[in-house]
Amino acid sequence: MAIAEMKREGEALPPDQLIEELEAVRKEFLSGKTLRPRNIPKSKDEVIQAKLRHHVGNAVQNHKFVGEKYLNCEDKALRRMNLRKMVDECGQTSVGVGLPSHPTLARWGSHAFGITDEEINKLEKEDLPADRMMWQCTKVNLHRTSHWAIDTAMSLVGEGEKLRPEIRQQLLDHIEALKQEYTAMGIEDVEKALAFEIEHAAVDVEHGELAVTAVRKFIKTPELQDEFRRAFILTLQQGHA
Amino acid sequence: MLYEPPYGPEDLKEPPLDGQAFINFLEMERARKYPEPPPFYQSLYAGKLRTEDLQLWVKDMYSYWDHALVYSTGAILIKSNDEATRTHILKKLVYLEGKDVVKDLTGWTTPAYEELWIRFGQGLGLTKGDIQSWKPFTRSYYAQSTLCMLSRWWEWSWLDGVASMLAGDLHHQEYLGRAQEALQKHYNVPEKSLEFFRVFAEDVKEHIPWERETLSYWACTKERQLTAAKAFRYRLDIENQLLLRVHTAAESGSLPLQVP
Repeated sequence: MAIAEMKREGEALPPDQLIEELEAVRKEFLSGKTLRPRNIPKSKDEVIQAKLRHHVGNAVQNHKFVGEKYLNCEDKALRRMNLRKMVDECGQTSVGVGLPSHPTLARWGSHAFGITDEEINKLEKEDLPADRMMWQCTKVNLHRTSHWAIDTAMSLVGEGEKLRPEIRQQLLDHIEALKQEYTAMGIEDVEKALAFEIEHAAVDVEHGELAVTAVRKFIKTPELQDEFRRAFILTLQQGHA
Repeated sequence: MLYEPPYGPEDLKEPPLDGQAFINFLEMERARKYPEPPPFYQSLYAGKLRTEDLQLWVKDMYSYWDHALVYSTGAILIKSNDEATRTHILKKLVYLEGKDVVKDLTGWTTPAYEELWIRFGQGLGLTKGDIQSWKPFTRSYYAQSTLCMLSRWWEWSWLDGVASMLAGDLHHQEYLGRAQEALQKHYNVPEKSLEFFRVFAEDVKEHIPWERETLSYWACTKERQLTAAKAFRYRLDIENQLLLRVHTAAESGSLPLQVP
């Protein structure tokens, strides 16, 4: 869809109506499916290849944009909610308890398939493929250059999809299917192998709520709503542009 | 680095110091550049300040604890691609913003440093409004703005940021520790109003070892050592400049320029 067609003039929408509008855009653009394709692998080797690709360029890290959501936030209460979210993302173990960072959970998933830390360390230093590089840099740049409330609200695209019951169910069904596949492949600790996916299906619900809060409380002018529409759609288009 | 020209082949031809030698060098730089406490602290320790001077200190430093320190720490976190370092910085940020942010995970209830600083000010007879509505002295604002800018943008690398953190923590560990003693001995500040100093003293003991270790390991080239040492020195400058105008006010009895 053309971004320019989305421009609105006049009154701002009530925030919940804006969210409904954008969820309708999501549903149409993705045909009701999840933001990132969820495939069922046909073989252990297919899983391994996907995981190796996932580590290239260390793009599983997220501090560069999650940190911007936090740092730019001008509302102290929302900023501290973003800090709490950053503890989930960057490691609850930073405060001595709970799960390690999401990049570490991704490593657990790779270890389960025999990928070593040495292999992962080497892949992390490699150049990102160009198409992935373009989206990753755009994502960080959007967070650096957008209004601070939009920084937080942009999570409505990725984490926010877990607030849609029909999409969350697709993710939970996918996890169950993977458990069966991994067991059939002889993976010993299937829960640990899927810790990254399981954690995201759960904690992203709370993180998605944070995005909704930002929209409801702060994205209430026509200009901000327009800017948010653009950021939402640009984020939605990752992997398709 | 702000306007300084880049280091050239002559600057970089010597090998780097080994890790511990570099840390020792930084500490010698601190002793060389600032062998004495800032003048304001000297007066504090000697019992020479009036209550109004202490109140001014609380008011003028509030925006440092509330914003500058938080923002500069977060800015370095964003730049830090080494996960181990970043995890330490995240914990530091939680301590600054209030351990109660992770109460659901840990049971911690300690509030933010800025809240504890307000409570200290209340122990001196200030209201929360008095403290939060204060417009900092312009020099203090310049110092805070400098810390934020160097931390946030391209002037400091992540490792320069760690060097800055080490300088700030060494400075505060020494001088705020002595301030707590002086406040009880000379100024009769009640124990319950000094929670900020107790909390800070405990927290900073956790930060300094990893900051040293990080610099010892990662400042492994001559260039990294040169820029990190410069950041270390600039942070000491910032911390000393932050206290300059409260000292001027205490000495002169009149208020220096403030932010509009």
